[in-house]
Amino acid sequence: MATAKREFSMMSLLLIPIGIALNFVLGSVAKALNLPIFLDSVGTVLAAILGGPIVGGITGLLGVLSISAFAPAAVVWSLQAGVIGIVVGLLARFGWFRGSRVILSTLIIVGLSVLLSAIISIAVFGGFDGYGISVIRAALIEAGFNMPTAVVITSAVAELIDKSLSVAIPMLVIGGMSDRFLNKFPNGPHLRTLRPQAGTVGTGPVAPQPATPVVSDSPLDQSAVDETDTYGSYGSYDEPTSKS
Amino acid sequence: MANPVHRLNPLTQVFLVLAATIIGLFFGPIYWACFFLVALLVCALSGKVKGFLGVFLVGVLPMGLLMFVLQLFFSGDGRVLVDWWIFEATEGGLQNAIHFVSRLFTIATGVLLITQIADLQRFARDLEQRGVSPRATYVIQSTFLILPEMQKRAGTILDAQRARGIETDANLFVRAKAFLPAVAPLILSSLTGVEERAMSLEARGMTLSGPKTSLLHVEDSALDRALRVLAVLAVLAVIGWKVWLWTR
Repeated sequence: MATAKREFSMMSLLLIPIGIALNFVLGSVAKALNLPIFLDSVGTVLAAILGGPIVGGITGLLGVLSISAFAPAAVVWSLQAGVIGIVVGLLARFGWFRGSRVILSTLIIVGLSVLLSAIISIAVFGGFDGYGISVIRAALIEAGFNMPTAVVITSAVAELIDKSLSVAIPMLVIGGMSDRFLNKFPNGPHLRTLRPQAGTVGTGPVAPQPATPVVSDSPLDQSAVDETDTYGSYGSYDEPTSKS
Repeated sequence: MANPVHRLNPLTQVFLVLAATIIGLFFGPIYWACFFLVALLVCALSGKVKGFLGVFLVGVLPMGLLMFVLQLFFSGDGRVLVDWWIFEATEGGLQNAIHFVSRLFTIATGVLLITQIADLQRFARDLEQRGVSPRATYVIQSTFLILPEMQKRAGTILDAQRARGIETDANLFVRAKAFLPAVAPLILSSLTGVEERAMSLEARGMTLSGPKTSLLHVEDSALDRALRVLAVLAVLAVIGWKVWLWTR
């Protein structure tokens, strides 16, 4: 099947280390700016949206495993990160990151993260998992809540903020990518309508495309272009990707 | 490379540490203490004590302490040990505290040990010898190549944006606004880098099919195989023993 093959093109494989490194570095930028959030799944979400469920899952899993070299206790969360990567990849593949459905997708991801982190936290560490948030859990328990409720409430608040940002940042970046560049990633064609009227903004009237299928610019991977859904994708020539 | 632990096949190292960690989940703090000492010894053999203790003291111990205090005062019941203000330490709480903290420490010790002693290059090469695709092992290896590079770039971008007048040390709202201009260029440039990297790998024959020759050969001796079997048997034995105790 074409999608399975594309998922393992060189481009998408290389998304994995990039995603892992982004998880790590964005987490440390958030720390450098003294922001009270983790933001350590932006890379996973980005890799999953661009590369699909398998790439996303591996990025999440390997990402947490490599963070464990510096914070060994984090290893128990690798399963959660892997599942999030897979689900984000699937949602992206079915076009659930287009238009207003992004909100629904974000809520699904938040819900899933809360569920998984609550299960892991209670099953492995009895609820107090040793992060700052467990202090709030203790306060809630003192106020009369039972442990599962306290864990779910605290994780829901934390994950809502963290995961919304982890979806919003990749979406903003992908929104700024040209179609030409997006097409090189396995999920690219599923993402193109994400931009507001791609091809009509800024470039004036779009020349009608000849009937010949658009061929990928990449010399690497001719299969990266699915011929059935790429016509008209060359409308936009503003290339924000190359300037930073 | 001189000591016996380092000479082991990387997969054997992973098996042994994994087995020790899984078995540790069924036992309490005493097992952890022994495991920790053994781990320390192994790290000492390869001169990694500083890294081992450093990560443990910074990344694990504070979590353990917090967890201990919270479990002690906010969980369990039974005879009251200490009662002060809203804090009430019970016998059950103490038991919980010891149970969960020793579990955290066991997991952390295992992970820490393997991350300290494992040689990523040998591990990747070993996987290749076992038939794992070189593309897959490249992914694992390149992560650790890209990380420092990207961290440096993140610093550069943050400095550049500061020079352009973005506030990075005012109140929370201002700092939050600085986040996007700091990370967006990083993400975009990394993604552009993906293409360049893919091309250079392609140019170096990464995607060619056929046998590849490596300068590094990782031994997999009879001892390694025996140790791996032993590790698996030990885990099965402990699980079997626990199940037997439980059904009795």
